[in-house]
Amino acid sequence: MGELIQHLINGVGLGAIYALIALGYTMVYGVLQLINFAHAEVYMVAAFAAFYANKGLLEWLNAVAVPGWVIFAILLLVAVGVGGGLAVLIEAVAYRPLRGAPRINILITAIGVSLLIQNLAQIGFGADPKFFQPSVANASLFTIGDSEVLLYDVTVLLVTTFFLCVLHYLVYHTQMGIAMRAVSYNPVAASLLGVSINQTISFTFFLGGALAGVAAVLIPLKYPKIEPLMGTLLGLKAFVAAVLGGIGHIGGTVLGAFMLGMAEQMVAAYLSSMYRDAIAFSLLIVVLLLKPEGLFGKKGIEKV
Amino acid sequence: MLEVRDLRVSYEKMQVVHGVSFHVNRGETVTIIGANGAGKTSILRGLMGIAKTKGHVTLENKEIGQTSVTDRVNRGMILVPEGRGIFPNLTVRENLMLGVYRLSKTQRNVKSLDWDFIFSLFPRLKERRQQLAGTLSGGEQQMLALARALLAQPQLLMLDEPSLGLAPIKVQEVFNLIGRLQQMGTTILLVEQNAVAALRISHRAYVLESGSFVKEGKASDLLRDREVIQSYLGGSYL
Repeated sequence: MGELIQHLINGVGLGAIYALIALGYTMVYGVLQLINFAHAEVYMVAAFAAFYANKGLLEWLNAVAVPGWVIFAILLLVAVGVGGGLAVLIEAVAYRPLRGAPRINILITAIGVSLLIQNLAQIGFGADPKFFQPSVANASLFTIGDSEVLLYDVTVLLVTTFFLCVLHYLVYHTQMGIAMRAVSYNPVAASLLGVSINQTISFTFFLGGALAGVAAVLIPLKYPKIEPLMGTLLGLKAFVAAVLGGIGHIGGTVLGAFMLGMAEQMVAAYLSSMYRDAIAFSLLIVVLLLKPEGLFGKKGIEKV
Repeated sequence: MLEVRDLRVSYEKMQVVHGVSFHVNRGETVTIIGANGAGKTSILRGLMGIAKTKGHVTLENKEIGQTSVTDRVNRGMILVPEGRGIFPNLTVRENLMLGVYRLSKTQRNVKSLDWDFIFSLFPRLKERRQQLAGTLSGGEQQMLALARALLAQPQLLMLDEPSLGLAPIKVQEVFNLIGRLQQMGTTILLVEQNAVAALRISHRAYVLESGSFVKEGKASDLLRDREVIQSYLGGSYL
């Protein structure tokens, strides 16, 4: 029983991480019908930005005692800025010139951008893994039964919840969010009302990149090893989470992410951790076979 | 206020509008009538900048022929496109909020803007403002599209087939509403296949045939024109 609670806690934490990254895929897909394979690299670069910011801060402070959460907040800002900024840059440089081109061209470009950034990162940051000094100590906060709830788990859940609320507010309660959903349905009709398609798409990319930045600060708290290829597997799984919930559908994606996180954790705990990665891709195959629009996605688009 | 000279519209390499010239004065209602495929919609798309054009378009003596869609909208050119351009995935209220989008950049308190007035014109929309627009009937969607366009405070309102696909009683409602907009002084460029109804409410009209104007004149004259009656008003109309 105690063990189960522990696995549930871990599953939720993992799901939250997937949700942060999967949302980037789903929102971009919503406005451009593009699977932005470079999204995983946005996460990776943001993690490196946070890593160097962290290192720089610690050296600069030079053993002056600053509460961990202050550093954590600064790292969040850095990663959100770098993640959002890089995503906007990628869109402006690589995807915007291809607006209106066949979808397959943009898809191939996305894969190209992904490889380019991976390789630039290996040149720039070095291919060897680096150790990310956690800014929040991984202390035990309290116990449920005999399972410990770590500060890490609580931080991940609180920070993710906070940013999901911010996202919900932006998408459903601001003029820009309304414009974004309008563009995702019919860009030409939206432009006839004065909505700038380019601005809206940039905004969407920024949101996705910013959330990947949040994940880039959260994950190293538990898994402090960072390297230029770290985005690939996580990105693929987040993509699976988005497809599972219904790519293009924000609420569905979040649920899909938590379901995937939980499934992965349970399989690793009760079957074998060997199957940890297999479960994600098995789920992808099953979803694509049985319900390709995802659990919460709509079948096609109804146009009246 | 709108002056169009030698406007040509093309898709890919196919030219579909072959150099039309016309004008719309302030406060006037002008109709372009023509059969399916004559190029009526293409003219409107060209005027808004969502189709490729050559020629001159001036709005209040400013050349806008090659400016962006956003720029034209910001100058007050509002098009209710064919098929209405409603966003079924947004609520009625959110659709209306997009109407004030162009104003929200310059005017801060758009919230108090013209909502009461709009809802007095469209009481049905007030009842349904929290519903998804996709759940509205065709007539209600057309009303929503018109309401949204009005919220944008158009200098020039362009309507592409507002009566298309509506039940006769709804068609009447739409034309009544256009009549009210005229009384308020709105400048309207109307494109219609329902030529009788359109000519009855218009000041002037142009007849478009395969991408060129073949006739123009006062709407009341065209309603009595033998050729127009033969081709567009169902022959026996008199």
